[in-house]
Amino acid sequence: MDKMLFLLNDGPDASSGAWIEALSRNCEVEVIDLARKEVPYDALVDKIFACDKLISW
Amino acid sequence: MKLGMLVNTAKHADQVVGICRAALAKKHEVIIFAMDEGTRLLENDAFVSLAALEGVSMTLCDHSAKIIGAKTEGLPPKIACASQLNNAMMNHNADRVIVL
Amino acid sequence: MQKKIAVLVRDGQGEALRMSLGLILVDDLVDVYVLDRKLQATEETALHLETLKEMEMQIRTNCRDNEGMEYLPNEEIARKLPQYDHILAY
Repeated sequence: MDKMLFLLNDGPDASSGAWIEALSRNCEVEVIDLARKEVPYDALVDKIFACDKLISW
Repeated sequence: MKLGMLVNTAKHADQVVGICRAALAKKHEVIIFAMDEGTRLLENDAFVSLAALEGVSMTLCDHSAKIIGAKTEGLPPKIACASQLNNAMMNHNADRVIVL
Repeated sequence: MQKKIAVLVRDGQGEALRMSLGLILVDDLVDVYVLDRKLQATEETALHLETLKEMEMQIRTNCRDNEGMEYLPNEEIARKLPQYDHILAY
């Protein structure tokens, strides 16, 4: 199963939850909310290159 | 590896700068393409200064800049006023692309 | 090697479609997904849509109001997306 990194550029919105749920049926999805700055940038870069697929939402 | 950064809004300057610098610190190359509202960041010194860093290439969509009214005079020569071809090249060459 | 790119058209519809057309300039495969809403009927979107079709690009949507596009439910789109090298949500 692919690892997908789902970046929320501006936090959750009306449709992000539904898409994350739908994608989770086919991928191992990790969600990072960039608006909350919960992940240091160096760790984020590692995650960007460690994942198989990436979506900036 | 190569990180593509498609900058199409002016809302995430801090993230663009932070992620770009963190990627460079880990010896990755960074390709930045600014279009649409993202061309407004050409008035942001921290964003513009990224172009001077080793390992960074930066281009912008000249069409967008004209529509948006972004300031393109006096930009460093390393920032190329270009076209969507450069975005296509970035996506073709980058291992990962983030949109901010 | 040819890349596979999905463009997810959300808010900036005209620019997203223009970008989609630009992305094929280096012969990568580009599919377009118009998500969650009807494509606005503007001169710009109509022109880009016509060109996308002339270029025989795949245009899919999860919104049944969008005529002339292949309708797919969210689950089917979510199943397809991991097949792309880059997924660009605009």
